[in-house]
Amino acid sequence: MERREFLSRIEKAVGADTVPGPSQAHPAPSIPDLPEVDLIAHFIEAFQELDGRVHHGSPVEVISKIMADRGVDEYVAWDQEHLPADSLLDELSNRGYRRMETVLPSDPNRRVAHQMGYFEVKVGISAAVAALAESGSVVVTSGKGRSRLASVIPETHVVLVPTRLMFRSLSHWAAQVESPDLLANIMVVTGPSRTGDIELTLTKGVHGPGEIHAVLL
Amino acid sequence: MSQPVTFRRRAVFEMGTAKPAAVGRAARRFVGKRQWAVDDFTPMEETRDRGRQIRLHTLANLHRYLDQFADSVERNGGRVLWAADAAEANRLISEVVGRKQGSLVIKSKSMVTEELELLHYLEDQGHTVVETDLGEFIVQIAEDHPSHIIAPVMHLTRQDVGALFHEQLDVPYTDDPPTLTQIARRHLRRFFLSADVGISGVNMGIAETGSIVTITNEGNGWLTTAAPRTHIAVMGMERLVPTFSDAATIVEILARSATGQRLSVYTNFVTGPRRPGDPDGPDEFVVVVVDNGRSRVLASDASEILACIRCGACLNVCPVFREVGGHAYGQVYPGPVGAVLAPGLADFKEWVDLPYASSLCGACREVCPVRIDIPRLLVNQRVRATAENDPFRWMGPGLAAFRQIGKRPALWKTALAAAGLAGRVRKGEWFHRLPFHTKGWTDTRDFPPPADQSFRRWWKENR
Repeated sequence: MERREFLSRIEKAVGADTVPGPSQAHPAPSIPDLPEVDLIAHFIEAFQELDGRVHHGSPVEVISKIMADRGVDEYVAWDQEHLPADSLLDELSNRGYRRMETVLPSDPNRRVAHQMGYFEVKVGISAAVAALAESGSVVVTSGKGRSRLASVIPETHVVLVPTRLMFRSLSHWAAQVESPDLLANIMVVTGPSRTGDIELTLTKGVHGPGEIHAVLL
Repeated sequence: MSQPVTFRRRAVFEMGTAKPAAVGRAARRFVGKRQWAVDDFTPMEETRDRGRQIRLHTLANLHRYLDQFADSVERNGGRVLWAADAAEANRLISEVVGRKQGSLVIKSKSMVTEELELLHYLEDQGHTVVETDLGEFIVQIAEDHPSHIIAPVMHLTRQDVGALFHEQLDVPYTDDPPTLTQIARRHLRRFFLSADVGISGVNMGIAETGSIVTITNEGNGWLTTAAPRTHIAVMGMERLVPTFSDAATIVEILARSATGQRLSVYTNFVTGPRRPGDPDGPDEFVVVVVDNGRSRVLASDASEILACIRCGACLNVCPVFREVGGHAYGQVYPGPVGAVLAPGLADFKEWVDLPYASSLCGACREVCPVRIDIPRLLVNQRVRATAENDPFRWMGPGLAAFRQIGKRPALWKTALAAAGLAGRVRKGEWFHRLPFHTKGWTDTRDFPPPADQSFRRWWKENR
């Protein structure tokens, strides 16, 4: 069906005027009035409540230990210029850890072969553009040098979180995002991947990472 | 579907299985979690008011916001297709998937695609379709149907799932949920990484930005929209909010109402295909907007039901849903929301008994995050049922006869004896069926036994 035809059907239905309540102009958004809290302390508490691990040390040390604990030497990551830790990838490279290619090949026929290369990757590194204290969430986005799959494919997700990017809640953050032109992908991540589908038994790591580590900077 | 044709018969059938007990247990746990999350969030009541206002305002201006939404999607490099009904939606989606047979399609959980029976349509076209939500994946390999909006396999035990994986996936039997989950992770991983097309539902579209929001706890929604070359988002036409901030408000009440989380694990905003310079993401982004009866509901006095944000809270508190489970509702949308929506979306006469599958206790209205007055809508649907060829027209004469007999104790006893029911009165049993022209009444409810003594006598003895 054409757009005009589809919308005129709806316009006619709306004309029946059956929807209850106010139909005047939309008022300005009201942001939930949460209690004043120490945002960083609240974030740490909420993040840990979800079984997220919080680190305060140097990113290269934290990540090296995570790699060593898993006995792996390959990882996926955002480009260095989008990570808020200077020369992190060079230092990892000096320690013998290898970064996998994250840019899709230009030939679409090679896309699947490229992505299947991630099948066994254990560790992914990205950075938060915002962190939400109330829910213990981190926000990651797509963009140049910022792979989506780096945050969702590996079993362990390490996210670098500059504490100056802390907001109280999703609403507080959303209110200051400059819409309407959003990046192609914005992901609000709240803890490790989980499911309760089998007898409501909480189980972690079903499709996304089963472990999430926040390195506070 | 070869199942009994009335709600009553389906309910009786389902209650003879182990399913409703499992569903009832699960529903009660959800209720507890929701209460915790609501208590934890001080501005919950104001946010619900705000959420309701956003949804009703959108519905009252839906044609304008859909128009803006389509412009925004196109501005960001996506396409919007418009489907008047299920047949058109399936045909449009199939065209995007591709004319050549044998495409690999991954799906994340979506009620509207269940409504379209899209999976079977694409399979008939020769494509391979894999459900990726763990619950939906289990439903798919069990060739079953989901029983709950949020927890599709509420009705299966861990042993059921263990036996199913053992048979279907050729793995050793286990009934340990974490082990079963890891089996599913590995099994589904190669489909994520190699699929041609990802089909997602849409929790919300955002008119101002042309974004679609998918919300999952497992991460399958994100993978479905990030890994395949083509992403098709299937959206019920009413699932829209005006702005990004409005979406944040709805997300905050949705997660709390659905599963008692402050936010679901993955709240995913997708705005068009990948941009120049993005290392990964889909090359093609298509939104299919589906009417399929919704404009009819929008024009009816059940229109408020379209404000629903699909959290499932009304199911969990509903005493009828807890007793009969999701399958008794016979179609995609179970529980109180389904009892209003189904007769509106599909053939009214076919589902006309669903609005009667409620005691009108009002628990659904109490928990609804956008305060939909579901009991009022159920009554509206009953009024319509009465106006259009009332299938319950026996109620008038039935009640009149009861009034006449009930007023005369001797007649009452005679009537019971004649019906062969007197013996049951002494045993204190309830009647499940009354005879003759009062029969219609007990087709839909049990009849209480008469008291041992009259109220007047009881009052004399006990006051």
